[in-house]
Amino acid sequence: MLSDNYTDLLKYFSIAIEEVVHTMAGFEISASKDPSFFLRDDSPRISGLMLLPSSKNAILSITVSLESASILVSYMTGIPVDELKEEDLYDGVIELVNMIAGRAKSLLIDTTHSFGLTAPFAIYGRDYELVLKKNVSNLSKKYVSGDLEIGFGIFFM
Amino acid sequence: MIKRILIVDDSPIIHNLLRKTLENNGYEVCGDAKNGKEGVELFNTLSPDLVFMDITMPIMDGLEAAKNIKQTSPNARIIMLSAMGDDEIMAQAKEIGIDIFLKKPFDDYKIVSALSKII
Repeated sequence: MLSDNYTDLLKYFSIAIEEVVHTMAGFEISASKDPSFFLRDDSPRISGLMLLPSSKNAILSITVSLESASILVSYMTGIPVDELKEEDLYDGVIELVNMIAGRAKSLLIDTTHSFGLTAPFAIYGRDYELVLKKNVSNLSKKYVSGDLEIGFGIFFM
Repeated sequence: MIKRILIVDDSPIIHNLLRKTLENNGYEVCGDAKNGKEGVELFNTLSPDLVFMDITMPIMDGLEAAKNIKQTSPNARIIMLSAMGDDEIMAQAKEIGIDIFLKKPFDDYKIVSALSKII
């Protein structure tokens, strides 16, 4: 079980994700009451990921459905949803995870939590899940705004 | 006279985002580069009024590219973009002579505000 110290970490990452999504796409997101980290359906999804090297290495993950990615990227860029290409969606999710990690790092600067940033990347597919070994600690939450769903997780290696 | 802006970033999304804001506010995007090396080449060809430069890029990063540009064009105006913004990077940027360091995420207001301070 993670200590209160890591619950504190979740608080700052939550601020970062809410701020980034609001600033870049204009959506006010809030934590879902649904405790499940996983998205509602099994439609194709994109996960943006970044390794966070630290004394306790972790992986940051943001997962959205293709539909949510389209909405977010359309609002970010002004390009209509039906004109977006797949690579626009991957790039958008990658850029979001990059900004969330960077913003969280800034917010955590005066705390005991310190981590590096690495090159973000994305995985895409239908019906995949991130599967953890039993003893992997994680912080996870789902954020929503209307039909928009964002699965967020930090998985400690 | 319309101000001409060069965007240097490896993310097409950032290009689209900046282009939307800049064009909506009466600026002209005169060029797009995907890495620092391309950015330096386009700067020399296009002589823009200002450059938006990302830091983390392949082939040549933004700090290196900015240094290159400033060596040949000391009066070049550069706004640095970064999701990181740690003290060391900002200190390096200041030493190079970067005008403004803009941390991501940024909205239209921050972009236009930064521009109006310089050009």
